[in-house]
Amino acid sequence: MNEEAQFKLQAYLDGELPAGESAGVQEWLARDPEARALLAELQNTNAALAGHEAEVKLPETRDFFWSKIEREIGRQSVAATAPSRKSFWARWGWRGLVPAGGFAAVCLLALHLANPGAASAEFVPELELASDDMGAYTYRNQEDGLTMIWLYDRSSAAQSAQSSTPAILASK
Amino acid sequence: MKTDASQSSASDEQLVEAARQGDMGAFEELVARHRDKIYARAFSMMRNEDEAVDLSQEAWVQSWQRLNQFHGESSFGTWVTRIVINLCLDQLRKRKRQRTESIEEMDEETGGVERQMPAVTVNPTERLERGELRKKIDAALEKLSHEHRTVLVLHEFEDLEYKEIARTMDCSIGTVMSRLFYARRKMAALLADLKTEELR
Amino acid sequence: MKSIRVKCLFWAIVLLISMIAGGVARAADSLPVQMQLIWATNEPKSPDPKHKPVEADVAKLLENTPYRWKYYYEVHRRVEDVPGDRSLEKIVMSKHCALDIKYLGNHSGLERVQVKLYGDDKLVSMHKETLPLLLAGNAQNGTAWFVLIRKAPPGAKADEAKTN
Repeated sequence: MNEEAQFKLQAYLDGELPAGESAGVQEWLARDPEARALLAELQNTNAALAGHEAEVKLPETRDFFWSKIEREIGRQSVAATAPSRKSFWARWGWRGLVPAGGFAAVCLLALHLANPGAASAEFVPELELASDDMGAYTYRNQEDGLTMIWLYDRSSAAQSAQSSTPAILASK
Repeated sequence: MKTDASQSSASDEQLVEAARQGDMGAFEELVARHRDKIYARAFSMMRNEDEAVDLSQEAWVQSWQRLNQFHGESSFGTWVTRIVINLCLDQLRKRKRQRTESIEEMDEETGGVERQMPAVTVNPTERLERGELRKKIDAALEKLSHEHRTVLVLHEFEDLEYKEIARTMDCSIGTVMSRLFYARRKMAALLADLKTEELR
Repeated sequence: MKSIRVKCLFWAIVLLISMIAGGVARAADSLPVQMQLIWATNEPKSPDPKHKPVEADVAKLLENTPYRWKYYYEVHRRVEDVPGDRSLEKIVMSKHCALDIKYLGNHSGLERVQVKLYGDDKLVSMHKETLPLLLAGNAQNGTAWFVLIRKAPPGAKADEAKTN
């Protein structure tokens, strides 16, 4: 049986055959045992898959998962609503270009010298993990402003099991 | 943020409308209702817990931003599922660009060993009880390539038609039919515990 | 027009000088920071007699997180004036744990710090966050460790001397 015939059988099973072709496939099935066997296999696989998808649950508590979403929404909306500036031309026109340009350049230099790390007006938290084997969840509580960062070992089967991250505890 | 009792009894449509007006509590209730389903879809495609959590989180953030684009043409849960599917496919495409094509990947289009495989006559649903079958299906899905798994998930679990799958996966209907056919045949062999070496 | 240009440039230079001076002053600012290493467990008693239960305000912070235990014990505490112009390095919290910390200034009323966490002398993670900050992870036998970093409350330095 060639590929075209096999795909036609599949389309017949899935109800995707063009109109008028179903009758032809039914006649073919009536006379060809190999086609019937293949159709039966496809039907069995369909039946096995239907309604037997594994039930998995999100492995995080409601609050924790929501806090990450809420935080990201907040972070993205702050980034999107940068204040707009009045048109330079509306204020100064061409004649203001030289002093205004000089003033702007001096201000930029001053800002850089005074605060070299502050490239943007908004503070964006940063996280870097030293190893690809590690992961982190961030949770923020709006009430008390606490940020919690949970560090875990990605290679552990269950995150609540014993961790192989570097030991942190043990008294001095 | 805690939602109140009235929100837990509100319909999805009412919650969506409230969320559109900026009610984060309503959106949180929607997340709580559908989070497992969205995560399950991401996990079935990515087969990695951390990636599935990250992508389902991203899907929720995007659905908040695009609430005004939801017009009720499908259920809200289905709409967010489509978002997470697209995010998963983007991620899989990024990975594919970083890898060189292997012989196994070429087999997805042409069928590999399944081209010569005779029809599998064992019916897996007869031999196994429900819980065992679910585990077996999950283990078999794990062994498929991303393309085979994606096309099966979209057709068998999301009930998409060939043309919708083609649009989602950005390929032709012919490619969808070919991938779906060989994915099903591979699943049949795996569910029947047939080792591929026996088929040569 | 010429006088406007001259005036703009004059005030720009004044601004430059004052901002440099202000910047230098800001970089010299420091922040008193309290760092606590905490052990979380469901056992009512710690095997180490030096451990003591955390204070009520710390317990309240920890109880508002997604992962909860019944008991929280303070293992070690440090209070330091964290400078803004350099990191305080290798602040030892336990035999296995150390921190580098640097003050990044105040942003919209929130204090910001950069923290590097070391475990067994290996860098684990780097964070730039607002305070209060809680780093956490699993420990043995279903327990957990926390490092709580926050602006030192008044009298914290005296308390540190008492507890360590």
